[in-house]
Amino acid sequence: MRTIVFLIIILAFISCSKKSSSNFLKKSEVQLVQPTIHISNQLIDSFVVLNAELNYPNVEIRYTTDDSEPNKDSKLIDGELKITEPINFKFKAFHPELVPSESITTSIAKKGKSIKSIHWISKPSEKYSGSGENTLTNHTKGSLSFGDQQWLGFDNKAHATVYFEKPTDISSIDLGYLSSPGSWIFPPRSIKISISKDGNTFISKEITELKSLEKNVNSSIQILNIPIEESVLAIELEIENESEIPSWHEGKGKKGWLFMDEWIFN
Amino acid sequence: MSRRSFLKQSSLATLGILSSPMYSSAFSIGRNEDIIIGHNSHQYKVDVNWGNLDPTKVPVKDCHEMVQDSKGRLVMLTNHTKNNVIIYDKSGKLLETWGTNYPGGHGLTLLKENGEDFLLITDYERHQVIKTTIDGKVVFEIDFPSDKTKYPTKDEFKPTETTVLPNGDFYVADGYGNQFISHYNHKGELLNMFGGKGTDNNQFLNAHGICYDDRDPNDPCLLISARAQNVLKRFSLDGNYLSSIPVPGALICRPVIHKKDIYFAVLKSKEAPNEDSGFLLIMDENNKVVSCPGATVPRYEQGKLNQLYQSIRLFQYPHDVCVDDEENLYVAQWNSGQTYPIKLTRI
Repeated sequence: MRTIVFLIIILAFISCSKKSSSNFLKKSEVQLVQPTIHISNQLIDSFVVLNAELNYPNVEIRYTTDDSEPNKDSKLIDGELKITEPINFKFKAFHPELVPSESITTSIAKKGKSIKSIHWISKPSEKYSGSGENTLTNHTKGSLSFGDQQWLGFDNKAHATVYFEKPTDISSIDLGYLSSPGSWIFPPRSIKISISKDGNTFISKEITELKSLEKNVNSSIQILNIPIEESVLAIELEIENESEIPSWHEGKGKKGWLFMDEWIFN
Repeated sequence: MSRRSFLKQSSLATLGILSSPMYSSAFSIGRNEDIIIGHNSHQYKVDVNWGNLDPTKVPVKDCHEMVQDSKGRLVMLTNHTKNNVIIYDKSGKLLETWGTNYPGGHGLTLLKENGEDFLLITDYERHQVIKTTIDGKVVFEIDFPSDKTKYPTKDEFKPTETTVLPNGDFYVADGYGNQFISHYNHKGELLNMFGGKGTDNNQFLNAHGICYDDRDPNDPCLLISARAQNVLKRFSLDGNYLSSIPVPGALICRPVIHKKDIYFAVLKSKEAPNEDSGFLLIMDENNKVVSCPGATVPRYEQGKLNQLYQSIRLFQYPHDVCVDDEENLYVAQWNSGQTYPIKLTRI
């Protein structure tokens, strides 16, 4: 009986001490930042090396590869991972006392087929013109820093035709783009693909429409896979930007930026 | 929205944790402890209720800069023209407000003349530097520099900061304009200009802040932040480049010297998944980074500082830090949802 009374007193004390909280922020009210991902290349030639970190004491970074949300039982990162096959990772940081981070994803794809040339019909913004007209076909992915040399930024559409050396079997195209509404950079709204067997006559192959973003999200590099399954000599791509920023955003009604990353021809 | 509820929304609600039945019962007592931020000699608790005011009566837009006056009061400059200057006591109680015509009120520097406090305000929308008394009476206004080769029109002059020498001379950093540093005497007459936009040692990208450094009284100099370059530059008082102090990953706002240390608000991390990725940075008397509240541990390897970045979602876009006479910090934030400053209590 004495033990029970003692426990009740202790519990009451803990309960009171929680209620009389100070003005200071508690550990349980603070969330970790998403892990930082270090990756040698997002396109696999032979292999790529990947690591994820958050330089904060007692943090664990866990991950999944099946698109599920990582939890405390997911695999733990404890050093570099060597990747030889295409894969999607989702990482999340955990701490014994702080709120876990939001998850962050990264996709690793196979290096695509090389092209002979690219003819641009639209022009990127002068400020975001990457490393020139081959920026999107140089087998190098961009980072989240869209000011780097691997991105092309458009304030209208990205429109170009790529030519192959000879008729080439293309199973699909992976189009990389940036979603970063905080910087007024939005996913494309539509993608129109036309193919040519002879390099002169083009037929419409695929039109893909995307929904407008419905809420604010963190910056991420996205990949859109478009099936082709044809032997082609040339492909024309016409990718429309967000022409009207949605009403929840401070730039509502204005044009959104379109930032294109690598185009991979599988 | 109160700042505390904002913090909760930003860190917890997105995860659905507040509604989780686990939240109320299963957390260890450790989770109920106060969080301590910063490293080494400079560590702090976070007071999220300090300075909260009624936004319908005393609103803020961006909280740009903050200083402590001779009476110990905390003076803050916002670009909200209902009350550009908000004065608190140290407990966070509102004492007075003034100012309705500083739409681009940005830089705030305290200077003392014959025992009296004055303020230098930079306004990037008015393209002016304004000297006022501590209660808001205008002493003089300075327009854009008269050098037509550097400033063809007033629109290219968007001053962000000032600093004052003991003899009354002052310097203006044009961090949002053509990136020149202008040197004036106490009467506001232009003596010298240096810097300009560029990546050479003696030039700047985003010369956002400037500070007179007399920690070595025999060799005083100027500290100027090149925010977009993540570098603090040292210049002689006559405008010659001396050296650079890199702070990789940190978009540093103005340097603030308190005793032998230098304090910075860092607007954001250079590389971070979230845009609102700011933190604070503190250097010691040797200009070595010793503490980064809200960010990763500063470490030097072979003399080179590691990349710094935000590690916890606490600050959004810190824009200035004020150090009071008890070593506590007050953090004014830009673009933070019209929230009031956050106080950090040193432990």
